[in-house]
Amino acid sequence: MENQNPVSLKKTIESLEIQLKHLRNDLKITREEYNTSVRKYFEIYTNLEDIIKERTRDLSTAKNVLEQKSRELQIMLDASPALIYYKNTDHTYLRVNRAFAHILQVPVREIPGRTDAELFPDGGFDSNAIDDKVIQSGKPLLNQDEMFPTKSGVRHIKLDRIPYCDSNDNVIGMIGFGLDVTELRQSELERKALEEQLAQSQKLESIGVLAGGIAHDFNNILGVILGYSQLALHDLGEGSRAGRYLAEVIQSTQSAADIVKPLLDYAKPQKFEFKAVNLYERIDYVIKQLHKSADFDWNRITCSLSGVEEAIVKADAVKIEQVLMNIGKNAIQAIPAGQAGTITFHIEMVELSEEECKMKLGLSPDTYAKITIKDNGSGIPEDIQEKIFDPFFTTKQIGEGTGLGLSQAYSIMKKHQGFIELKSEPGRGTSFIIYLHQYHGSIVEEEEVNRIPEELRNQEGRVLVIEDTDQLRHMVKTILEEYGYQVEIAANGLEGVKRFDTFHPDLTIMDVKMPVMDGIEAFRVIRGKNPEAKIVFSTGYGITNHEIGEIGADGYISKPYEPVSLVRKIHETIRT
Amino acid sequence: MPEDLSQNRILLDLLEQIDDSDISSSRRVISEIIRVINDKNSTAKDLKDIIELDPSLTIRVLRFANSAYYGRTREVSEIQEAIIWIGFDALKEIALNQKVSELFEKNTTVENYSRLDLWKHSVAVAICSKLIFRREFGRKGDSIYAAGLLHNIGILIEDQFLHHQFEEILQRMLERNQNISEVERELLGFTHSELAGIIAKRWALPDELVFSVGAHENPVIKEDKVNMQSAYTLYISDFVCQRRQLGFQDMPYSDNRIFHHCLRELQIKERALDFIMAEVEHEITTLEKQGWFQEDE
Repeated sequence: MENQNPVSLKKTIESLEIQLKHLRNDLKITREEYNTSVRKYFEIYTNLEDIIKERTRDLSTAKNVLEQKSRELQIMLDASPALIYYKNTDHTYLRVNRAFAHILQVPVREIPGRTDAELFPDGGFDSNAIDDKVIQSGKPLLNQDEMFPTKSGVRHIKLDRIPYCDSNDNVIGMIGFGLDVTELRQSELERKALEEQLAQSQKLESIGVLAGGIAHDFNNILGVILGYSQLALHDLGEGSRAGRYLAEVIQSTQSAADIVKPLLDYAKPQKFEFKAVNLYERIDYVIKQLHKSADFDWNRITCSLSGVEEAIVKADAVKIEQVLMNIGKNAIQAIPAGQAGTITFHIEMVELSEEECKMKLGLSPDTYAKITIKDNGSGIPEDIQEKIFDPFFTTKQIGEGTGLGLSQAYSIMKKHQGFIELKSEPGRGTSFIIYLHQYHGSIVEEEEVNRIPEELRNQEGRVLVIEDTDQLRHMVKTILEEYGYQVEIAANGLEGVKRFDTFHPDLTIMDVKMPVMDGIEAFRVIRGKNPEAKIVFSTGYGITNHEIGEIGADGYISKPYEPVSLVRKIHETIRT
Repeated sequence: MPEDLSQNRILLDLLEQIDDSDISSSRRVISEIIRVINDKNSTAKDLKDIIELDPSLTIRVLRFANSAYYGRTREVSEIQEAIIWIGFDALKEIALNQKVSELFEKNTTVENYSRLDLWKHSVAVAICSKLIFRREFGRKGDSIYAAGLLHNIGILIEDQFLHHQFEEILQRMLERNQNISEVERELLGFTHSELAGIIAKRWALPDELVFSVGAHENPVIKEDKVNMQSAYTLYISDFVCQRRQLGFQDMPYSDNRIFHHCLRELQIKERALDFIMAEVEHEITTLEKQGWFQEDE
């Protein structure tokens, strides 16, 4: 150190001094900076905390507002009866309303994020292709008919698809707006069907009135032709040429009368007698009657009856038999030749509600016997089904059917305040379904109603019945004997005249139109023998009171007659 | 404005042009940052507000904050965060750097001058001045830092608005081996130093800054002690940075007399400057590596 250059030493010391000073100053500054920094950072951190609080508050306010808006929107959407949904461009549901969820029977919150494929797993509804069309074109598709398969059946939806745009008009999805028109459609269809039923009923009525009017006049005219032809034949004698001609006229007139007769029956205001009827027994009887018909090949046709045996309905037994017979015959005829046929009659008791009655014109809520007559025949083409109850409508050859059978069945059912309908599948068969009111009164009561009037019981007297129809002749005999009369019968005028001589009846009741000797002839012969003889004509033809008076008979009764009125007529005539 | 310059047409036209120019739009932000630097009571929030009002500055500051230099693992996306991670004092400097650098952005090269060179020189002087303040006076030195950055704004303005004359000035400097101020006085009637002082005054920058930049070429006018300290420091920094050839040299023919006068006045030993310059050079190298003195940055 002694050899140290003083200048160099001075420099070294100076340098150290400077460094020391710099260090001191740096320390001072650094401490100052440290203090300021601590102060500033404390400020910032304090601020930060406030800012975070403020931001959080802002965010949570915004979130609350958004949630509130979202809730409001959902409430409004849910209040709508329409089905509303929002979908993303990738076909996932974004939001749906309650109506939409309800129809799918899936909770509202489970739908967003899912696709049609997930919601309709059977592929019953896949809207993606049409949705894409809306999304790509940016144009709405309105009023589309869509079928939504749901757990409770297919729903018919009228769907509007509207592009879902953001504020810059970019399509970001689609909005669906659907109305469930299933019930509306259904009730429209029901209304249409009811209208058709009503129209059918009115059509039948008016045709009936028209046909009846014509038939009645026509029948009267035929009666006149027939009557005078018979008188002329009587005067001329059958041996003469003119007589033979007249016989032809009479025969043709009778044929004409035969053709008009069903029309007349159809138009004639029929009397209905509603009683307690055991349907099972009636059908059983009808099936037996059908089996008696030789027209059918019973080797290949089976006819069976099943169901409720104690089905008591309020009905006119004869008329119902007529209806069932008619339907039965049609059913058998529907079996194609050579094929095995099965016709089943089935009875069940059903309770029909107001709702169920709505579709069956004329029915009111009640318990009904429902009779289903089903065949496995060729079925009825749909275009014909609606005409099937029209009068004169027939698919049979001319002369084979009148075209009135089902029409009559229809009007008979209407009189019963019942219902008849048809279900047919061409190639598979036809079912006729008939509804008849269950009988609510007691059987005893019914017998009271039908009782023989007191004054007509225990009649005395002898009655000669001249009638060419075997069935009717025997029926009349049975009835009159029941009332206490002594009865003799004859099958034609000549036989009647002979019986008159041996029997000496108090009253003779006879048909007008009969073979061998007709009623007019027989009348003359009997009055010739005993001018006091009491004679009553029974006739289905339009003989007027004037004509009866002209001939000099004691009266007439028109066929078909009810036993009570027949007895009353006989009773009154004998007493005068 | 000194009386003899109040009638200078070139100067008056120039000032008008500046008022209408892009530079003027930087003025508010620069003076605001400098205000924050000088106000002891200013807060980090003040700085944050200033930076956030200037989108381009915000982007620059955030880019800087996210640069590899600060080795951040997480993205700094807010000025608030930048202040915390970089530090309030550092960020003041960075913000000012960024804003002033905008003025130097469009590079032009004339003779031995380039705008980026001028910028590099300005930064070096700023750092040097700051270190002198810290080391020698125990002052924080961020106000002298701003003065350093802006001391040559006069040259920049001449380049930008009086480009034709500026070319001639540079040419004459070389031809006649003169310092820039002498040629300026001759051609324009004012020096870039006087111009910088006038602009700083018009921008309402602190008196100390106005005085120091206005007098940095010739710090002989008697002012109060604080202002003179700044003016002398700026002169010394300017002098040593040019001697060390850091950036553009506007007074290649320096006057050692004034330099020593300044050292004497401030009682700074030349030895002390060596320590300081070593650090300045180190910092400039670092900044250079960060691309501060390259074009398009």
